[in-house]
Amino acid sequence: MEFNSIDFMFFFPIVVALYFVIPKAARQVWLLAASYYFYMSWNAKYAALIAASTLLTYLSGVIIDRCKNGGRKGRALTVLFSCLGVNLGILLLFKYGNFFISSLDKGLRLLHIGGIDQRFSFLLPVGISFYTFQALGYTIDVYRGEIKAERNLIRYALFVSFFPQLVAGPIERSKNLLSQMQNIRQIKLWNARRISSGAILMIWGFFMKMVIADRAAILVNTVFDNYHMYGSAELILAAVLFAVQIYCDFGSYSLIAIGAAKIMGFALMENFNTPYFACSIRDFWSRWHISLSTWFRDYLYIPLGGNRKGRVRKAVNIMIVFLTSGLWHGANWSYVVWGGIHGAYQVIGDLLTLYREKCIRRLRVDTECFSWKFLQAAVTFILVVFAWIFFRASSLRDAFGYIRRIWIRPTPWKFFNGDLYTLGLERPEMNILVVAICILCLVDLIRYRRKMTLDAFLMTQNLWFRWGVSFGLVLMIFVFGKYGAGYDPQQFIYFQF
Amino acid sequence: MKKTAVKFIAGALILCVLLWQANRVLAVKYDDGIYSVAKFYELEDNSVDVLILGSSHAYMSFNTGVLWREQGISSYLLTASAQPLWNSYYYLKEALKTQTPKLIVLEGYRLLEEEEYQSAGFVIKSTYGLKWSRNRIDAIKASVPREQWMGYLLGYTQYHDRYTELSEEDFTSEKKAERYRGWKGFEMGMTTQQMGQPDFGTCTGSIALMEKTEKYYRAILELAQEKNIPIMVVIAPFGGMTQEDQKRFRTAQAIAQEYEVPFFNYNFMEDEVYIDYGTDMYNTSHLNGRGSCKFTSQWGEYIAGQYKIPDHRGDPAYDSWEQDAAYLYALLEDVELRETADADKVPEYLGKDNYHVFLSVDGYCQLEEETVNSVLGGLGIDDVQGGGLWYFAGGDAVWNSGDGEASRYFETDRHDFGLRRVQRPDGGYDNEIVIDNQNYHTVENGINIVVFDGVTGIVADSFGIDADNDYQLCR
Repeated sequence: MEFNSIDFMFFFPIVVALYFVIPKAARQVWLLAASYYFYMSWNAKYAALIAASTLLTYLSGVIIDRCKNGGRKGRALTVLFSCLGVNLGILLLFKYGNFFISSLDKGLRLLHIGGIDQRFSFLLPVGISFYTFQALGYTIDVYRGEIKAERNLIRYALFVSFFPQLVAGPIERSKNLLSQMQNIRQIKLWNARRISSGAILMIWGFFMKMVIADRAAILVNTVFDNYHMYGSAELILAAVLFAVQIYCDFGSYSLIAIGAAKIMGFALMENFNTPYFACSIRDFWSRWHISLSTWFRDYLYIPLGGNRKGRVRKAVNIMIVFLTSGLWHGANWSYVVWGGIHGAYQVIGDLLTLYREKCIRRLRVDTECFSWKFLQAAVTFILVVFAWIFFRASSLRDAFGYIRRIWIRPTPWKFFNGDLYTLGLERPEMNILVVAICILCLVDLIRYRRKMTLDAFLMTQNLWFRWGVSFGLVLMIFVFGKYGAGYDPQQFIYFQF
Repeated sequence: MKKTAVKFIAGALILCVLLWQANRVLAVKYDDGIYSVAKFYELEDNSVDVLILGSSHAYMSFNTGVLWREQGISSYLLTASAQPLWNSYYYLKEALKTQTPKLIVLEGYRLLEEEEYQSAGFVIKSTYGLKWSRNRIDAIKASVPREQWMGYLLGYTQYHDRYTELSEEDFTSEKKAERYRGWKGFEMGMTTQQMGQPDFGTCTGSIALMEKTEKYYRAILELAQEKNIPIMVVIAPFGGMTQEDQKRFRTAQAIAQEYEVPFFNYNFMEDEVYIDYGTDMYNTSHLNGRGSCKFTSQWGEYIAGQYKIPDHRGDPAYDSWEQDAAYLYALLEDVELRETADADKVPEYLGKDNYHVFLSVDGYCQLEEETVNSVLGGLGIDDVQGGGLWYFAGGDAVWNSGDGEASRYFETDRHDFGLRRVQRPDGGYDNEIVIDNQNYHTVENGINIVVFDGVTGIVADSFGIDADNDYQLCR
C-alpha cells in the first residue's frame, strides 16, 4: 500500500479515526495491527521476516540488558554481535544475495574459471534496510546503555513496524520514538494545531510526490532509458530533473510519514533540510536523509574511530561509510560507485581545505556575501547531480555511457528550439512542472532562511493565507497530480532500499 | 473547542466545494454516452415512446428527426460508443425509472462482443453518464475487473488530467451549441465513404455468443417483458459483416425467438430498405445522414403500423422533438450544399431562410463570366468594381463594403462574424471573412463564399469560384 494509493486514502483515515476513539489501553495494539496490515498489503509472507527480526532484536535487547546488569559485559557483546550477524545476514541474503552471486559469477567468467548459474528467486522485502537498521540501532543503544531494554513486546514491535515510517524511513532512534510510545496513553489526541500541522506536512508531501516527482519521472525515464538517442541538452536536463525527482520522491515520503505520525501524536525526526542549498558535500549530507547519515555517523563512523585517529584514518573511515551507504541503497555496483564518489568528494575537499583557504585569502574573495554562498551551493549542486547519474543509471556501463554522451554530443540549441518538449512532457506539462518547482524553491527558501518548515510557517500566518495555501496545494494535487487511469504508478524510489 | 470545530467544518466545506467544482469542470462530457444520458435525464417523465439502446450503430442509424417528422414518434437514443450489452442493460434499468416507452429497441451489433472488458475510454462513456445510483455502481462493476472497481467508482481519478483539453463546454452548466437544444441522441454522419455493394454470402450454422453478452442480452429481453413493454432487436445496415458475425446473429435470433421477440437483420432486408453503399455510408460500419434517413423512414413506417405509438406532432409538450428534427433536416441540407460540385446550382441554396451568406470578390474576376454572373445576379449584386464584401441573411442583403464602411462586425448569442476590408501597402485590398475567430478564404482571384447555417450553428459550406481555374467551384 503506497501513500499515494486509493487504498491509503481509506486506510489512513480509518486507522486515525479508530485510534482517536478506542480506549487508551488499546492504542498500541491497534497501531501494531494497522502497521502489520499496512506492511502485509505488499506481501503477506514477508511479515514473518519483520516479525522474526523484531523478536530477535527484542530478545537480544532484554538479554543484553540483563547481562550488563549482571556484570557480564563479554556475554552482552557476544549477544550483540550475534544479533547484528543474524539481522545483517537476513539483509545480505534477501537484498544482496543475488548481487554477490552475480558479481562472483562475472569475476569467475572473466578469469575463465566457469560461472555460477544459480540465483535466489525471492523478491526483495519492502523496506528491509530501514527496519533492520532501526532495530539494530535499538540493540546497539541498549548495549551502550543509552536506553533501557524495552520489556513490552507489543510496544517494541510497534516501534519496529510503525507504519508511517516502516518502509522508507525516517530511520527512527529508539531514544526518540520508543520513549514516545511508552507514553502513548498520555498523548492528547485532539490537538487542532498539531493535527493541522501534520495535515499540512502530508499535503506538501503529496504535492512533492504527485505533482513534481512523478511528473519529472516521465522525462527522466524517457532520457535515462534511451540515453543513446540524446545529446547533452536532454541528458543534462534529465540529470538535473532526476535530482529534483529523487529529492521530491524521498523527501515527500518522509514528510507524509512525519505528518501522519504527527496527526497521531508522534514526533518523527526530520529527514531532509533543504539539501540543494548546501554549501559543501559535507553540508549536503547533514541535510540529506539525515536519519541515515546520523545512523552511519553514530553506529559506524564513530566506532571506526571517526576523525580521532589521524587524517589518513579519517579519510579511510569516510570512504568506508560512504561505500557502505552506497551499498545500503542498492545491490548494484553503480550505487557503490555513487557512494564512493560522495566519499571522494569529502576526502578531496578535506585535502584541499588549506589550498582553498589560501586562494581565498590571496584573491581577497569575500566569503560573507551572497555571491560566494551562491557559488558554493551551485558547485555543490553540480557535484551532487553528477553523482546522481550513477545512482539513476541501470548499471555502471550506462552511467559512463551517459556521461560520455554529454561530452561527445553537445546539443545546446535544443534548449531553445522546443525539442525538449518531445521527451514525454509537452509544453503544458512542462509549464506545470516549472511552476511546481518554483513553489518548491519558495518553500525551501523559507525553510533555509527562516528555519521554519512549511507547517510551522503557515501556522504563524493568518487563517485566510493558511487555508489558501493548503487548499491551493490540495487542488493542485487533485488536478495536476499524477495518478489514476493511464498513469503508470511510480513507486517511491526508496522503497527498493 | 467549539471555535475549532466550527473552523474545521468551515474549512472542510470550502475544500469540498473547491474539489466539487474542479470535478465538475474536469468531468468528461462526451456526447456519445455521457451527455446523451444527461439530456435524457432532462426529459419529462414518460415522454419517450420509443427507447433505442445500443452502440454507435444505433446512434448513427436511427434518425430521431425522421421518426418525428414522418411518424410523429418521440424517440430517444440512450446509447454509447461501442456499448456492450451489460451497459445497455443498466441504461435500460435507469431509463425505466422515469420512462415507460411503448417500444424498446435494442440495436444488436454488440451481440458480436468478444471481449469481457473494454478499454477505459469506452467504459467511461458507458457508465459515467449515469447518475449516482445502484445502476451506476453495478454498471461499473460489470465493466471492469474487480481490482479496478474502486478506481472507476471514484471517477475523478479517471479524468482529472483533462486539464490540457478543457474548452468552453467544461465551464458551462450545459452545452450551448445549437445541436444540443432538442437533441435526442442522434449523431449524423456528415460525409460519405464510397463502398461497393457488399456480398455477405450465405452460410449455415451458428456460433455461441460470449457468455457475458448472452447473460445480459437475455436480461434485457426479460426486463422488458417483465415490465410488459414490447421490445425488438434490430441489426442496422453496416458494410463489414463476416460469416462469423452472421452465425452469431443467428444465435441471437434464436434466443430472441425463445422470448418471442422480433429480430430484424436489415443487412438481409434489401427489399425493405435499399442502402446504396456508394452514397449512404459514413464508413464501413455506419450509415451517413442520407443512409439513416432511408433506413429510419422504412423502419419507422413499420413500427408505426405494428405498435400502438401515438403521433405527437403538433403537441407543444413535444416541441423539443420538433427542434431536434429541424436541426437534423437543416443539417441534411448543409450536407447537400457541401456535396454540390456544380457552381451553377449554388444560387438555389444561397437564398434559404436559415442561411447567412458572406461573400467577397477578390483579385481579378470577370463579371461577364457565366458562373460569376449567375452567382452574383442570384444575390442581386450588380456592381463589384474593385471587389468588396457582402452579407446576406435569408437571401436579403444586410450589408456591403460599398456602403462606406470598410469593416463590420456582427454577433449572435453564440457566434461572432467579422467582415474586414484591409488596404494593402500597394493600394489593393484584402477581404477577410472571419467567423468565430476562423478566417475563411478559398481563392485568391474570384469569389469567396461562406455559408453559415443559423439553425445548425455551423459553417455549412465555404467555397470559391476560382478565376484561376476556369471559374470552377472549389473547396
